[in-house]
Amino acid sequence: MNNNFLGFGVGLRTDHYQHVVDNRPDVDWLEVISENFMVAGGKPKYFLHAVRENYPIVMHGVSMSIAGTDPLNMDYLKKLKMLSSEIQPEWVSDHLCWTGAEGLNSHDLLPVPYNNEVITHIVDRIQQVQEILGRALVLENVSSYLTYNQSDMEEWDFINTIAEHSGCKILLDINNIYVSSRNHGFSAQTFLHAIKPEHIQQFHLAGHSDYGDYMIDTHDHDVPPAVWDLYADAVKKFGLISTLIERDDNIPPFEDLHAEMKHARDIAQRTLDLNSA
Amino acid sequence: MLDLRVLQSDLINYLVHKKQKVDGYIADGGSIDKQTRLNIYSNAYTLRLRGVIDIDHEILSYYLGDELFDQLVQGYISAYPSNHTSLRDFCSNVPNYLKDNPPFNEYPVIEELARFEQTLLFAFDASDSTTANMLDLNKLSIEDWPDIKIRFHPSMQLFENHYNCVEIWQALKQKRTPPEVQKCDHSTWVIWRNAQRITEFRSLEISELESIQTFLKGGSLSDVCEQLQSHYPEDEISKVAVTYLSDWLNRNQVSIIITQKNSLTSQ
Ligand SMILES: [Fe+2]
Repeated sequence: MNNNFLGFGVGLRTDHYQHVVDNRPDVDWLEVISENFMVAGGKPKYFLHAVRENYPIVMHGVSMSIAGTDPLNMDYLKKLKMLSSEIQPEWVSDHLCWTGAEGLNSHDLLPVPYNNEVITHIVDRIQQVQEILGRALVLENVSSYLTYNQSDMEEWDFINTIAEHSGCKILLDINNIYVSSRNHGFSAQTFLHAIKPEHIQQFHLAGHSDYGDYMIDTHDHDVPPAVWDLYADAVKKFGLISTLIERDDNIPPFEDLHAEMKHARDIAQRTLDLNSA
Repeated sequence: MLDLRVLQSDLINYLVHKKQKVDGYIADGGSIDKQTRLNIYSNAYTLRLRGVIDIDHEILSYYLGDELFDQLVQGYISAYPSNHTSLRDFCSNVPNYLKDNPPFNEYPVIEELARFEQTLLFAFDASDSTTANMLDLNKLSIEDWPDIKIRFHPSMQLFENHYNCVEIWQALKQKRTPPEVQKCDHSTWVIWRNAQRITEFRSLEISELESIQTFLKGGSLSDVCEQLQSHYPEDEISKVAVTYLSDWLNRNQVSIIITQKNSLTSQ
């Protein structure tokens, strides 16, 4: 299976642009938020080109609304394609979700009901986007806080079927699996083990906020022990998969994220040593 | 597919306008009830947009203080729900909202402050461009000078104000107590991004403002000199014009110097 293993990376955030350009930290790759660079010019673009010289880049977007019912936003897709020909990323990802309807935008990653009708709708849109971008799309499982009455299958079967029918790849967010498992009362292991290895392109690792009865994927904390454990299981099952530390809020010094990245590498190393022993 | 469309329409209207009834879509069960589940999304919606206004209008939020800033957030979010793909454009109507709605419209300096912040944001990520420098100017033979036209850097903006909003902005930026609001007759600032990609601004004398405006309208250096006659004695005019030009060039405000000779290639 060629999943283009990039190694261990960190999500590049505005606070760290200067640091990464000046210090060239020892990370294997960087993931950037596509929308941050869909601007005409200035500092963001300058930094993006500067980091691109030294690192493989993955473009991660938040606005595609692949599961939406408004028409695909051609203007957005055009800009995404332009950015991708400019940056030549390893791949382009977004989320398996919808963000708005009727022209209104929630700027959130909203879940859809899991059923065959929705699968058909999403597969069709993925194929259109893949056609436009000229490459396979990589889609991430989102955290969710509600279940729809219109769902008649499990999220993992929904994801597998979409990947199978559309040819898209999956960015498996380990934290999102954990958060959703706690919010919906399913087993994170069951989710993880149900996903077909051939679909996996990348892992995300992040932290969340625990409110006791429920969890929110705030991405504003260190990766917690439960997510590290689930990550070790994921490595055991899927082998070496490009892994990324994701932090969106309460951004610590770059070194802290770098340390988490090294921790992920250690876990992967240890798990695979044990596997082969 | 009609079902998904209706569901999304109802949910987005619930999030944005808080009116729609949507709990019929949500399954029972688990450790929290349906309303708590919906509240997670609805709180996240408000918090996210509040965060965007706070980042784009950091100084305005200091100036307003928590209570008024909250009032702005609530009012703005419901008056101008996001219909943009990018959050970058979400705040574009903040100055309009402040101009039209109480209590903010009683204090026009607030709208000016917001507009100033938006002008800075525009300059921050405006298009990149080549920049001309003094060498380019000095390369020109002296007989070409009167015909010189200028294309300014895409980040360059003029900002007109009637209150001391820029002084207030500066004080708050440096975490100092802002000055009292004062009306000023008429003042204009030029804002641009320098060679280090840092946004700068400075206030303009009326004669320099008119010179910039003349170039912006496609006028030539000789048009500028003609204009300067109303401000300076004849023998100082060319010196003043050259000072302006070299200041702009040294500050990275100019993309291209256009002469009759190069106008075809640079247009
Ligand atoms: Fe993620």
